[in-house]
Amino acid sequence: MNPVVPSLDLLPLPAPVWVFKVLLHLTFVLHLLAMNFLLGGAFLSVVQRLRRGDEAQRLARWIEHKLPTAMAITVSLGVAPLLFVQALYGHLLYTSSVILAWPWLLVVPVLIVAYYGTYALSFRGDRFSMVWRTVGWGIFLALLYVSHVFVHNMSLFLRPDTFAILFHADPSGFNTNFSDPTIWPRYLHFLLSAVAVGGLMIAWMGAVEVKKGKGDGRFMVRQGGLWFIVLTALQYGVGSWFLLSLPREVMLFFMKSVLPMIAFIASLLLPIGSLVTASLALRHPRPLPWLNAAAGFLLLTIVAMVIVRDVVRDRMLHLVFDLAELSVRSQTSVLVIFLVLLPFGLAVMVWMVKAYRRGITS
Amino acid sequence: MNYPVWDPGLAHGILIAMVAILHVYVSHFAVGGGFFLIITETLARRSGKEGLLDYLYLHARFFILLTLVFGAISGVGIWFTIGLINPEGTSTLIHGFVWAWAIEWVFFFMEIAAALVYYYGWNRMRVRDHLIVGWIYFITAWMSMVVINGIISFQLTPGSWLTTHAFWDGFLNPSYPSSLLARTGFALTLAGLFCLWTASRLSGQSLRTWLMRYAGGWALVGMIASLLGVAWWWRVIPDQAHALAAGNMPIALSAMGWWHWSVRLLLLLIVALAVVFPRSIRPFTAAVILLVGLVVMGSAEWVREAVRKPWVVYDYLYSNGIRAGEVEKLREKGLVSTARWIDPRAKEDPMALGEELFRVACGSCHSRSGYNGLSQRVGGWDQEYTAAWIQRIEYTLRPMPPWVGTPREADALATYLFSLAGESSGELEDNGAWVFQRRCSSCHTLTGERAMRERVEGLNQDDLDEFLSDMESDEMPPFTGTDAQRLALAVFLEELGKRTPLPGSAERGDER
Repeated sequence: MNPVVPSLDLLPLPAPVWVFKVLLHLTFVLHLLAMNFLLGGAFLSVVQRLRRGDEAQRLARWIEHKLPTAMAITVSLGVAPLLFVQALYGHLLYTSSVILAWPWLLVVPVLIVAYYGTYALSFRGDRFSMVWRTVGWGIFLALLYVSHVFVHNMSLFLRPDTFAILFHADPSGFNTNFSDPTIWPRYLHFLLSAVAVGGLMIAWMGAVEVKKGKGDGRFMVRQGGLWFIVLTALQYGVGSWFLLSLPREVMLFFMKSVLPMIAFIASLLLPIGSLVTASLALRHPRPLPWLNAAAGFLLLTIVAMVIVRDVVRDRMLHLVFDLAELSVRSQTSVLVIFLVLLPFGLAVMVWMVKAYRRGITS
Repeated sequence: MNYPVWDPGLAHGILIAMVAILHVYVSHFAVGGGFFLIITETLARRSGKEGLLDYLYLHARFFILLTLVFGAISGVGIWFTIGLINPEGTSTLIHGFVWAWAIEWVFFFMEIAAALVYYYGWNRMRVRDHLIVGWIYFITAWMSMVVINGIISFQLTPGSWLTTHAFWDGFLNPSYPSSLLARTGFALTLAGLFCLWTASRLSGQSLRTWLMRYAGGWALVGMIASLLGVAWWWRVIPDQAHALAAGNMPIALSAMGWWHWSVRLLLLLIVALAVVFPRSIRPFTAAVILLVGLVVMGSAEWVREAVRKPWVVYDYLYSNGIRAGEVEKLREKGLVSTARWIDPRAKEDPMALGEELFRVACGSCHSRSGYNGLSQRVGGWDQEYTAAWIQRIEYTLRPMPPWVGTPREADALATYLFSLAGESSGELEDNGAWVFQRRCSSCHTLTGERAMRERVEGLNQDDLDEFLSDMESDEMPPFTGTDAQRLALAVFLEELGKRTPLPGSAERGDER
């Protein structure tokens, strides 16, 4: 039976596909980085709270203070890829969203509660009671839910063959897609990455503190670095599981096509660089240069993985949808306004942060 | 037709209202409140008014907790919700205006960053830098409104976009400037109303009194601008939208009523309490004023949404996902052949098919029962009349998308709808006014639009009985009621035609 898929919007795409692809991947990488700090940070802070010792408590407090801003940045950076993915794949994403309607919509109130939780945790006094420990876990669990629903929906929209069966099974929107073999490895892959990358960010910020010769920098480097190393090493197992869960035809596509193969191999090799440099940073008296290198490798890894993800997406959909089918009629004037405004906006934000730091130091 | 229709068990309108009304209230505060913060901070620093800066810091904390968290996430929530309840419409707005959304995203991001720096930089940053950040916040927040207003107003008055499909024709549409004025004005009003709330919690009497009057001034100026914008907007929206608000759509009429009384009450409360008796405002009073403000905003948004019906984008896309230009083509093939998400297992069973057709053709606006429920609508009908009415639905006073199914599909839908209705109220069956209300009032009023009185003037009972027995046409469904009902209706219409005063119960004929 042919999959039931909505037809494309009659209105043409207002710029060539590659413009949307570049913007989608660029903003998605930025969103991932912020999300990793948020989700990874939420996890690491509750873990530190389980430990004894002042350093662990101070690190937890340090992370808790940053969670509201991390949430704001994650949400803001998440809006853009969600917009661009709709422009390209909207007909599939809307359908999968309707199928998962209630879990998908529940993301909104859960996020609001979690967000208020981060502010409550950040504004509380120094006394840390059981209630605050529970709030910390609540935030982490809420973020686990939100991230899972996103993974669930983004996986489902790659499976148009299941749309009609799931929708007709329950049009009220309480469906799930757990029968998809990619769901759990994919989610675990994202989850481990989030904590690993969050750990590396904390280690890097610790290394900056070490350089300044203050605070608990060394402890942050050790804690963040260890989580990064252990979880990144584990990713080789989870990543293999994820790869094997993909349809055979998609897997083989990486062997046949040059550019996807390069991205795939890069995503396998680059983490080795970040593992080695992060390991060296753990014992080095000046860990910052090593962690800079680890962060560089990591950033390249994320870029490679986003490309791999894109190849998997288009390959999984190629029987029902080819991006080349989209008609294009560019809205040049308004696109130019956006392209001018974006760097201007970034420059203004950089100025504001500088003005803030200038104020603090003075 | 193109997308699966989510069937959450309640009307889609209720869902979007729950998310959107609270969001627009907070998001308009995010704009006006930003202007309030920066103007008042400047005033406080220049005048040195005692306690004002300390109050503003607390107000700023309240402001970011409300706007950054609830305001921002509920905005994403609207996006989630419209994608679920109207994917076709959302797709149209994304494809037509993706760069406007992208520009709005940049402003949104700048706005969030500026709000955080403004709050966390309080008393830490240089004063000049802090004020600049405040201005950046307000400008970017207002620019977000400038952009989104173009897309929202486009839905009601797409103007020349309908022929050109050009971005600027749709964005700078006929109701754009009036709508922006109304929204900007109300944003200033909300700046004042929320100031009443935070100031009502202050202990210092002198500062509190001063702030109440100050906030009252903001609220009044905002209301004047907003009402001017609304009056202007009213002049540029389509005539059919006026007719809906005047009574052809009861929900729009009711929302108009709520808006009218809540605006008067809000103006009265602002003048009487904030300006004349500022000392009387306590947290409870301020909360009541905020609640009245919410009714003003909620009813205004409800009117705007209701008078756009049956369109998502006026004259382009109906609420149920049918494009104006594809009606004839769809009619040739029928719904079962063209709607993609009808369960194949249901095609042979009229009741099951009827439910599928209900979902596809009606489910984007109507529920089974409750708000906008169809069980109430078909109460007192019979299946034959229901099927005939469905096929003529575009001729009803209440605007509806045209029926694009086949007669057999209309029968199946009627079977299902009729199953929702239950028993009709038998004791009223012989009451002519009741029969008129159930059978005729979808398309006729007694004395207003398509007035029945003019049509039956001078006709006697026999003429009317004969007409009712054989009145079926392309626009009129047959009369399928009992002989007793037909007779009762003929008697009622004869009286109506004599221009005698209508009996009290008969006025219900004008209530649709």
